[in-house]
Amino acid sequence: MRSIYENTKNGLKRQKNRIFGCQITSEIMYRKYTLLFLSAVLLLATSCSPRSFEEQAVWPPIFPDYAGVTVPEGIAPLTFRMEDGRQFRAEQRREGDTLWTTVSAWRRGDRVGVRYAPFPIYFSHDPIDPYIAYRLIEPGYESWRNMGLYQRELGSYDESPIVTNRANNLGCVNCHTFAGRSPERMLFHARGKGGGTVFADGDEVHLLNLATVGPQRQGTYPAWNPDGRYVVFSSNETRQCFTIRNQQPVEVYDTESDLIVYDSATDSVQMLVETKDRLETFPTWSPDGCTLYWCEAVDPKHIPQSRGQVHYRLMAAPFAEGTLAGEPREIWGSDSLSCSFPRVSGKWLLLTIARFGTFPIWHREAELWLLDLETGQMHPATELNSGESDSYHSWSSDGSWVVFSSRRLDGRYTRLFLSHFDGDGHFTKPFLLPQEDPDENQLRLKSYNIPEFITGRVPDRQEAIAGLFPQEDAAQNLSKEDKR
Amino acid sequence: MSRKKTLKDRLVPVLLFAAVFAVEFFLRRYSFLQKEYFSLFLNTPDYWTELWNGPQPLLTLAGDFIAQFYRIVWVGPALVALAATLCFLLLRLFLRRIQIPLAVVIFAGLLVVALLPASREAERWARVEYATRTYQWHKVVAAATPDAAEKDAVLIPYALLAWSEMGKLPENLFRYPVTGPQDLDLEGEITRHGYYFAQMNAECLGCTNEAIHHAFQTACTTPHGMSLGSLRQLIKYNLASGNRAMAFKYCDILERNPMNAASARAARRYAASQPEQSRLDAGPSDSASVVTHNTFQTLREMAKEGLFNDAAADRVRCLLLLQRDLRNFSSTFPEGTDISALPLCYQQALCLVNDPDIQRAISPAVTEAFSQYMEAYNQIRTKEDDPIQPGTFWEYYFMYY
Repeated sequence: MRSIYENTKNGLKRQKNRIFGCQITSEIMYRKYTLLFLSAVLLLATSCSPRSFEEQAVWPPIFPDYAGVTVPEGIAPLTFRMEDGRQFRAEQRREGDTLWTTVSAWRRGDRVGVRYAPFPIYFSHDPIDPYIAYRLIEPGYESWRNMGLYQRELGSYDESPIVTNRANNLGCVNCHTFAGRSPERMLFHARGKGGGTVFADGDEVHLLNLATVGPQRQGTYPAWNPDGRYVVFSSNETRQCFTIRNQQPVEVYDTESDLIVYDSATDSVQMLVETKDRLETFPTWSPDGCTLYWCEAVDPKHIPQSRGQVHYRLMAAPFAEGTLAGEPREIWGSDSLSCSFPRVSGKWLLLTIARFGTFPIWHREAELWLLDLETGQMHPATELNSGESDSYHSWSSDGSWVVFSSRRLDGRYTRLFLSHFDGDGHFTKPFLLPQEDPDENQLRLKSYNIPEFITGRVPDRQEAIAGLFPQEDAAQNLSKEDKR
Repeated sequence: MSRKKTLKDRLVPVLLFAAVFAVEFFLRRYSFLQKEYFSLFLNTPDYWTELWNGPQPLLTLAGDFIAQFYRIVWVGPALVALAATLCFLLLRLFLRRIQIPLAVVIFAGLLVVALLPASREAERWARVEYATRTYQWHKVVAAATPDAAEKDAVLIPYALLAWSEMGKLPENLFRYPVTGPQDLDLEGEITRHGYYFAQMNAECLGCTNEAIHHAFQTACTTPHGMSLGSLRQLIKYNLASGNRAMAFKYCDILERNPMNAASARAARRYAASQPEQSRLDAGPSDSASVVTHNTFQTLREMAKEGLFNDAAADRVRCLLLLQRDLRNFSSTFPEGTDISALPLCYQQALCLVNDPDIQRAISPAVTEAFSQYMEAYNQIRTKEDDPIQPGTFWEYYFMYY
């Protein structure tokens, strides 16, 4: 068995041994992967640790729970700590595509520590996109202060802003999407005074207020056609209400929603699906861009009182030349469940299922389900789901990985989990996006929102984007906020 | 060769320190407490990242770091006194001959600042908010008097909340210059005051989720989008609603603040001693009662949740009075209610209800006063005229239409 030190030495070969983790005192130490530091850690660990250990035939209780997970080669080291804060030492050895980690733990002053059964971390050679883009925001209570769209390199802990709301006078930035997962071409909404939808293509950025063109509807949830020309948006009138004492504190609902389509070739917007008695939302595309999927529900009126009757069904229709080329058909529907966020990869469609409504992130019962588009069979993605809300998800470019947001850590702050998909309807145990300090998962006061895989680093366009908004307003808005 | 220090040399800085401390303590201590409540200093990766990416990181850091100590009531005044004294000692190096006038000027300057109307108003606000969150209702009504409310109408809801918590809302409602239902719930006030009041109002009504909602709203108005005070409140609300996981999370975060670490650990121990609520005991969430921006509806929903008590009933009645909805007001009293024993403003309102049974049940003194009022009212009057019977429902009903 190799020691931590040996393992780290070999770990300098980046692809091989990037995965190990230990934290002696979580309060003050941030690991740096240098020989010197680890030597010191090893010295400290061995000098304070008990001389004997009692063997236990169970995997160690660690946070985050990385025991038995499957990870892509080259991902940032999976740092962890003991769930109960004990000191510990981790020894690792790699056998083929499996990294075995043996954890010994003890409390200060213990004469006998505990050595747990080694747990495996499996490596997959299926490629994963190198970056994830997401929004960081306080967990959804009407207002916000600082928010932004960020990108995270999966091979390291590097997180950098794509754009923050300092650019648009502390307004809201949301609903980002990328054309074919390309970092070069993206859009997002910037709400507030002088706001609109920001389109970025290479170094070019421009602002379009969708509500002032075509049918004069604002855009909400976007879906960029794989050919890059069309973007379908839902146009939602969204409200929220708060329950008095229930453990589900918030219900978010739409009083109106339709679909509009933006044509980037003509810079024009048209209505795509408009009904008075139905709510259409969450558009998404088939990989070939020929089929548009969306969720649709009969509007029971008088929401929120009637919110329990809102059950969204999955719809699909052929799409060509900027319009629907056939009658919409129901792909899936239920009178007791509601679907949202459909995302397609090959023949598989992953979506969120809740008991009712359109905003599953506040529904503790929300789960991810998998639909086989060829057979029409649908089943819960059991491996991914937890007792808390499991929601917004995104496929990697080749469909072998998913990233999704889950509130399983504390019930309120969404965190990102990744899982491997075998292409045959099965996922592996999901793992929490690794952080340099595992405690950061607890300490971060913002939620991760709308994770999307991207194929590279988004270029720095913050200055150009800020230039789209009058900066004198930013100063005024800031001082207004401060005076509140 | 340095001159030997005289008694005066030693005494003047000490006196200056003491005088400035006294001024700051007695005239501005709540402002310091409030400053700490809305500040944030945390040793977390996100705090440092946002700090360095924000404007003026060093100044912000210095401000945040110092503000955390204001939680101890004498620290803020002591720091100002210390700064003033150091300033004096520095200037005295050059102006030794006029050290007493110099000390007087520094003291007078700080006194003037503390007595500025803006400072007094800020202090009053800070005192009212502090007293509200510490449930010192008598201090709230002492600060938010009817006279003070004449100048600053946003004080009215705080005063009425305090009277409500003391069970004396109807007796005091019309002592204040109320002009409508918004004086009871501050609806539509999207400022820090408005959010903070909504938070405390929801807490007092027992609507924990709504209190959490507004604690976040309040925090969003602070420079970091979260504050030490909001974190403390969030721990409290999550413990009240049985959400241990969230309480633990906020305790973990608050532990990263040196001045709050001990209390965060204590809260954590307390949370750990509470029974864990099942994370899936939410029940059918589509039937859970909701709060809305309409206070009436919220109170109606509270009745469904079994949260309706005498204080809530009084709030409903007072809201109906402020809406001049006498029909619904009179229907809130169950059959057999002793009307003559009701609070005065209720009886005054019932005088205007066209129901002989009710009229007969009102106490003779109120009926007599009403006759006198109507006699005077029927003279030609304008809104500029002095009130006939100030502090009565009739005055509100007829004159503020």
